[in-house]
Amino acid sequence: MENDDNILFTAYIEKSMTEIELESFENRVKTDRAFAESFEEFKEIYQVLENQFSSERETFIKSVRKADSEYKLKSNSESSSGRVFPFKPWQIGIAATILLVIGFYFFSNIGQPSYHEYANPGEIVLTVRSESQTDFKNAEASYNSRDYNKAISYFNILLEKSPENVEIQFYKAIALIETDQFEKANSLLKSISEGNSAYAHKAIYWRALNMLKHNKLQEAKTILQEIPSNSPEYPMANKLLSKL
Amino acid sequence: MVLLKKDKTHPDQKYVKALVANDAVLINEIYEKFAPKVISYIRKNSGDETAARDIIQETLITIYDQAKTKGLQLSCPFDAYFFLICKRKWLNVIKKEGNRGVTIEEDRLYISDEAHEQVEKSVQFEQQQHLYITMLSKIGETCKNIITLGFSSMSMQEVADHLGITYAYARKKKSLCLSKLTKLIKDSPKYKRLKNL
Repeated sequence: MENDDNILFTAYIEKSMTEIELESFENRVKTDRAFAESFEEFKEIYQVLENQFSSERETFIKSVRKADSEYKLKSNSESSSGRVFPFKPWQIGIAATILLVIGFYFFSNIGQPSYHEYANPGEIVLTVRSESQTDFKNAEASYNSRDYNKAISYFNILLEKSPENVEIQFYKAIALIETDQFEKANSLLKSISEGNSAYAHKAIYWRALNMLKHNKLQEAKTILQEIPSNSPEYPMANKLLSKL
Repeated sequence: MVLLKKDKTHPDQKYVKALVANDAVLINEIYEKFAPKVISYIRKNSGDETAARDIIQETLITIYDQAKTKGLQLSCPFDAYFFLICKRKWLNVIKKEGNRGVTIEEDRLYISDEAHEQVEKSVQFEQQQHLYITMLSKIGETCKNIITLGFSSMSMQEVADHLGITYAYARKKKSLCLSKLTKLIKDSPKYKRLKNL
């Protein structure tokens, strides 16, 4: 009996009842207290499960992790610059030797450029089109506050209305890189770079950075070589190329 | 006895809202403002910064879950509420590990009854949630899969394709599995105990 009730509850919550069923269900909730209570209990369990496996919750957890790691960086740099260690001269000697060894190690083995050295998503001011001003403003604000997941959702809304807007496509691609969506970023940047918009060369450069971020150094190298020498992106690309 | 009801939502409700809205700026602010106290408390009580950070993350997720499923109206400052939940979680960790030889250094800040009450509710919520999820692993692989996938971002059609069953059967199965799970949860003594707290 209880079993049947639970099936009814799911049907009600998931809106799969016929009008007649719905009417009788709502009447029963009003008149049968035990049934109503049982429904409340079911709803509570249903909502917990619904939340537990939702993609929204997954995104939220990612944001918390991000906030945590950003906070870590800050607290580490504060503690290292804030504290003064009283060194004795012989200790300085040892420290200098260690530094030299570490320095040598880094230069000889890991002298590899990192994504964050070269990537600067910066702040954007979008060319606002009158028809969806709010979405443009929201996209801009989310991107500038580095909430790239939110920015992507706004970019998607804008792209639904005007899929050909390369500016939006380009910043969406950067947001995709920032949120580690490698494949999506790569294919979007590739399609931009194959067009002849003002973003074509920029897209090549960022496609290489995406490779760099995921340690695909050979691919990054090959892509960077596609940037022509008269492009504004050339100096940076060349600098990066020389480090790879 | 006459109880004076103070149902006013505290202005710090903005932090709860920020968690639900996944607002990165305010989540960072929560870390800036409220994490140091938790980290320092846990450090003083035989933990380290890494342990404190885990507790902070868990606490933020608990608050999010409660706000998302039951609605959470904060009637006390976020500071006290957040700190108390972290503290409770940390004391649980210590209790579980048992052998740390810990002396708990009590914090000297004043915490209102309202904050304590609010924390009780959150702890109760967390235990209920934990019970539901634990029961999920007791209803068989097929049911577990269909519920997990059925509530994910996949559509029911995608779930059906993924499991190699028809759409109609997937929906029916999800409903049957939910019913089975609900019965199992409601029959457990822990459910009754938590409900009557």
